[in-house]
Amino acid sequence: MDPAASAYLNGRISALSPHLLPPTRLEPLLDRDLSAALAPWGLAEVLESDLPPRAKNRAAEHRLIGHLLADLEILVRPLSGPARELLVHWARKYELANLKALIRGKWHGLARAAIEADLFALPATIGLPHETLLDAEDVPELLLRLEQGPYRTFALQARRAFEEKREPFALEGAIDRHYNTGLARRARGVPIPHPFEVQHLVGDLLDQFDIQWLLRYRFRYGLPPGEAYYLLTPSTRIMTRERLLALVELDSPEAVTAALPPPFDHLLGEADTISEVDRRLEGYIQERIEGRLRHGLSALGRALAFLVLRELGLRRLLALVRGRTLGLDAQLIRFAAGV
Amino acid sequence: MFTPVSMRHVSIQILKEDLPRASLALAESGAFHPDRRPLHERELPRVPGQAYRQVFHRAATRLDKITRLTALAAPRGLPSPWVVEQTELEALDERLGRLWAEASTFEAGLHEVEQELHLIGQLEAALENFADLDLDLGLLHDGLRFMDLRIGLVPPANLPQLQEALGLSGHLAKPFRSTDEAVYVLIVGPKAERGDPIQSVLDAAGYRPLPLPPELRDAPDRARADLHRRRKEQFERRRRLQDDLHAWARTHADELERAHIVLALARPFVDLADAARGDGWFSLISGWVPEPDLARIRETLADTLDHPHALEARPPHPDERPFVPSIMPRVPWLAPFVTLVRQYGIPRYGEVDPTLLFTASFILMFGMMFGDLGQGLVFMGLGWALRRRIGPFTHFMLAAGASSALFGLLYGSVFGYEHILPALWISPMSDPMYMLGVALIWGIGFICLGCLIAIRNRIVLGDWRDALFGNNGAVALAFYLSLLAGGLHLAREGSPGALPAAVGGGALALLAWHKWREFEAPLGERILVVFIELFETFTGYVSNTLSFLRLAAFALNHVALAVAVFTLADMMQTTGHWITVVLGNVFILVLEGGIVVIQTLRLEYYEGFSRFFSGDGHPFRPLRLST
Repeated sequence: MDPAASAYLNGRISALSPHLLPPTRLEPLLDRDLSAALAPWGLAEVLESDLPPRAKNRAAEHRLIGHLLADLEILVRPLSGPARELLVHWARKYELANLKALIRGKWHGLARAAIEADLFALPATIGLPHETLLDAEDVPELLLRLEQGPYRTFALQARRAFEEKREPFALEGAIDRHYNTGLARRARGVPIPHPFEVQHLVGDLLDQFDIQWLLRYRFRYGLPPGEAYYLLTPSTRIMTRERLLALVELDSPEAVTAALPPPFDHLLGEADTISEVDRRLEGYIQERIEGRLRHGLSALGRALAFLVLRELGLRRLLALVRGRTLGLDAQLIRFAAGV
Repeated sequence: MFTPVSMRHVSIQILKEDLPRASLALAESGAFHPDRRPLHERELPRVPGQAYRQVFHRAATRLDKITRLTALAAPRGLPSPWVVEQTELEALDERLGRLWAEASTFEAGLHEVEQELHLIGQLEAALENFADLDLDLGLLHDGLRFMDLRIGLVPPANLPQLQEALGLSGHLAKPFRSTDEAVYVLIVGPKAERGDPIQSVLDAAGYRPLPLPPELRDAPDRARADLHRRRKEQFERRRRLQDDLHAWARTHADELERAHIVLALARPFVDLADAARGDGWFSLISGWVPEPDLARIRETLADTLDHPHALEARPPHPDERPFVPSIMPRVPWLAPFVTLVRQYGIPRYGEVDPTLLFTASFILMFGMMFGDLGQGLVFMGLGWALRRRIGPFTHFMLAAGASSALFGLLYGSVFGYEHILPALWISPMSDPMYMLGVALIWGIGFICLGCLIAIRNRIVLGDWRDALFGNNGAVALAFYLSLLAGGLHLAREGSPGALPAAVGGGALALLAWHKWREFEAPLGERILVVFIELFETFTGYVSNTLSFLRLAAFALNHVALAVAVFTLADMMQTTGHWITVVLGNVFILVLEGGIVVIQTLRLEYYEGFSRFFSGDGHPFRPLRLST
């Protein structure tokens, strides 16, 4: 990456940093009138609308993700080659979320408008050409169209699930795996200077994903060790290939958390539910990534750290919106928003 | 011809039930551009016809899929129009749904054939490689009591982790052949007592089993023959499916043609979208109409609508000029020049349309840089010969060639020969300084004209400040002219002269004052920015003027290239001489011709358009009736 691009990125990150939403900034919002408090995020109009709560939450989510993608577009502007690919791929999770929503929607026979309402509006750089998929009349036609595009492998897998009349759950796991392995591969390909900072950051993200989903795949969905292992992506940090191979064979969540290497053994030792594991991991990863944003030397690493933190903040804000629109208990909202 | 056609904003008040009829009439007129701004969102919150639009979209998608599959062409013309009611549209949509359900079976069948052919190809490739596999392949068919044995394909990227995952259930995956698309693997492991413990992980990894022909065990030749037979069967099946599809398409051709027509007649109402708003029984359509067509639109609506209606028209407000569509000229011979202008942008409503100026100046500058009677005629001949292939660009070739031929006569140049024809004006090489002077004068005129148009455009748009103090405004033009006059006086008299110095100094001071007021910053930064911007204005005008020297430079370059070709030709015998002259001319035509086109476009875009043409206008896109 050339020095001009690094200088641009560092300058932009400094300018955008006030947009981040650490829990301390969310705390005062809990007791205020939500529409007024969230007006700076363009949510007042959504919250004051007559939409039902689910549609309201969906609209709020789309608005907030719009902010994130706008920041992404600013940050990728000076980048090209592997550095650009890494950031664009990071945001591709929303394209894959659209793909999941499309498959799920058609699978359950939802109307076009209902599926469309669940899709994120994405910039062309990461957008899925979903019009032809939306126009499919039924699942076989959807699979036919999917087979003709870049996600052919998923289509073949979905076809088998459809023929055997089972839920496309494993397919969603395969889509997540495709995303994670792509992220890890791109992190390995970033150019000097400081490629390790980027790889470590991606390693942190994969550690978090692997622990959360290992517990879910094995003990919530009851997948066999082989399949659970296959759906995870070994990290270059702590949750390495060997560790994952050993952990998927354990037969209870407690055994897994007890066998985790430091610092996760200490961090998750007393966590008794998967939600608690998620919450603790999120706090830990947030701290690590904040450190990388503050002290990192690689502009690309700092840009990725900024995007991750920005997303985390927006997700917390969304949890707050969801909790309030659904009229949930304040303590529950605090827990969900990580405040 | 120099400004876009005058437009009127119209608001048509009608009953909601008349909306489809009114939109059809407006589409027939071909002169109504819907205005989709949310102008009356508060008073008229509803956009009528949402259900109609949904049905239309579904039906249009179905028809589009059938058309793509059957390759049936849409009808070219339309019969007398009628209003397509929602019930008719719904019936059509339902019918198209049934037709697509039938047609999609052909698509699925053809897809299956392709998949089967692909699989056969993979089996054939695998067959060549099984020799390397130290295994009794008969086991794959007969199976073993305690061993699970299978062969299949996996995407290459998924293999390493699949191997590790299978290892957890005691299975081994051994690759034995690899392509870009897939790895062929042999999977071996203990047979499970119940269920299939590895199927889910194989699914997740995109594993596809490879069903081997039974003959493979002991008769590879028979297996090959079997695959060949299966391939032929698939070809035959594909042919039958295609024949059936064509027969199906022929059977339903009339019905599908009518579907195209119904959808074409329904489209205007769909395309109105947010331009029509309503509340209860009342609706309002907003749009733009060229002033000359206004009376015709009134008459059409009066003749078409049975219920009362009202049409109000007004000129565009100054603040809505950016939203007014512009009509570009539709003169056939101007079409290639319109395309080149559009490469830069579309004139904003009220701005001078640069197409005619562009056409005239482009033709002149091209001729001046590439003046040669013979080569100009070749350009024209080529344009005419290729007229079917290059379409409207024939006129471009003819005009550029004619200009080149005319300047060839003025320069006395034919295929590079400078002594066959007498120069009606001047041979460029005879007085290069004169040519450079002519190019400079042309450039000064071009820049002044650009500034005058820019001033006029700003005044029309109500931007008086920019008209006066902008970089291409009146004060900057005065500064430029005084700079030129001062330079001329300096060359002749040894001093810039009192008047040019006074005007230039005054203009510079005014520009500085304007920029000072415009820019808010601390004192030091403000001084620096004003100084840099003034310096940029000064250097911009000087460099833009000098940029036109390329007109003369290319005219001289053309002669110089011809001289080089003749020097080479003179070193040859008679045949070689003429071959060199012909090839040299071809070289000049292609290479120099291309460069001159690019240089002329550069002058037009950067020295001309950038002064006065914002290029951010909207094209006039009326509702139309078309299949």
